[in-house]
Amino acid sequence: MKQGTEAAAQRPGPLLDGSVRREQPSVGDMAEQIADQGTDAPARGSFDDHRLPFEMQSRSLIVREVEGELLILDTRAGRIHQLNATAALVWRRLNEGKELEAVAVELTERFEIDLPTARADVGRTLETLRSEGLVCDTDVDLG
Amino acid sequence: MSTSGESGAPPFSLRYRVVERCVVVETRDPIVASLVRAVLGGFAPPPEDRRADIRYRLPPARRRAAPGAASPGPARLVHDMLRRLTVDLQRQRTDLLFLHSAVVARRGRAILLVGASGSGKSTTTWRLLHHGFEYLSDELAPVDVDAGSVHPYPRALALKLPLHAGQPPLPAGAVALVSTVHVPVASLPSAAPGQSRPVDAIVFVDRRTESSGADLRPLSAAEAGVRLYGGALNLLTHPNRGLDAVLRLARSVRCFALATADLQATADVLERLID
Repeated sequence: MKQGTEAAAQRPGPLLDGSVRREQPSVGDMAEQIADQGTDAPARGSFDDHRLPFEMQSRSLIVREVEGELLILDTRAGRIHQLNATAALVWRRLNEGKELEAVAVELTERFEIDLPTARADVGRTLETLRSEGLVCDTDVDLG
Repeated sequence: MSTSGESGAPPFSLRYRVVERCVVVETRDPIVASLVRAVLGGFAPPPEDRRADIRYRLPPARRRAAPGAASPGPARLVHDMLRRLTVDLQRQRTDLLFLHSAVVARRGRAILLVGASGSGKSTTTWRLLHHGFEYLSDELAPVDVDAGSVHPYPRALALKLPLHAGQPPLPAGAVALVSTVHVPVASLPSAAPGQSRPVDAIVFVDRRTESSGADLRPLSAAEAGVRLYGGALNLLTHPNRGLDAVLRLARSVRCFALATADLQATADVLERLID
């Protein structure tokens, strides 16, 4: 299963800036890098490591569903992210306040994987979402 | 460059219809005027009674290299005017989505070649024009997302030197402008339509030097949307920071990623795509 955020980032230029954005790396390159990271890299922590309280960083996000995938525009950071179907499901469930374990169980039902694999996938996806600023650690217990 | 008035009418008043706006360039300098004609001569003139929407008054250019001189050389003056023009057009046409893209057409349908600087848009365009493609732009695609069409922006085609191996040679009439050579539309091997063309496909060009051939890969609307977002210039003039406009376009046309190291293979692939 390919999982994790297939994220790409691009900082929108200033209003009406007609200049060429030479300083930006290609969006495609960045997408490949992050997709590779999501597919091949080992999990950067156990599932239990992600039981920390966190909050969805949603106030500055514009979210659109496109053929089962999610595009998330982070207006504060000036970045756009593409989440594949699996990462989109994880992001949605976390946004709904679901427990990580419940999300992992749902993954086992939808994608016919065992629970340890699903836990690892959820943990890795959450780590990527954190690193991209789409969720934030917090001291607030969301219950 | 100035938009304020000088006394008396300048001897050169050059008028062009650019993305349905009347652009007037005035100068007293014959060399500057000839450069402006070379780079903007592909745009049709507006009706004589049309008032200027955008006006540039270019000062006389200095003639010799003179560090610290108040006035830049003619090439720099025109180069800066072209950059300013792309910004002013975005201010005038907030209804359009401006993409950093080359545009060619075949059988009346347009292909957008989107990519960062150095990705090979202009080089690919120059080659395609020798294969029967029409020229709409090598730099800027003003897209009417609702109509699904792209306006022509037939500025002179700008090529970086030296030309790549296997490129068609430069024609007489090409002019140097700062770091590029511009081929006037009148010197191009194919026509430049004066009308909008429906967008048939969007191709994201990635020039590869470590491989061979040309590989065309279909993109999902989501991936195309992300890539289009990176290539759009006036996102903030559209609702929701341009995301919805970009996605409407990505959903409405075929989108591909093209990894290419071979201009001839690229031309063949794009011919098959539109034929």
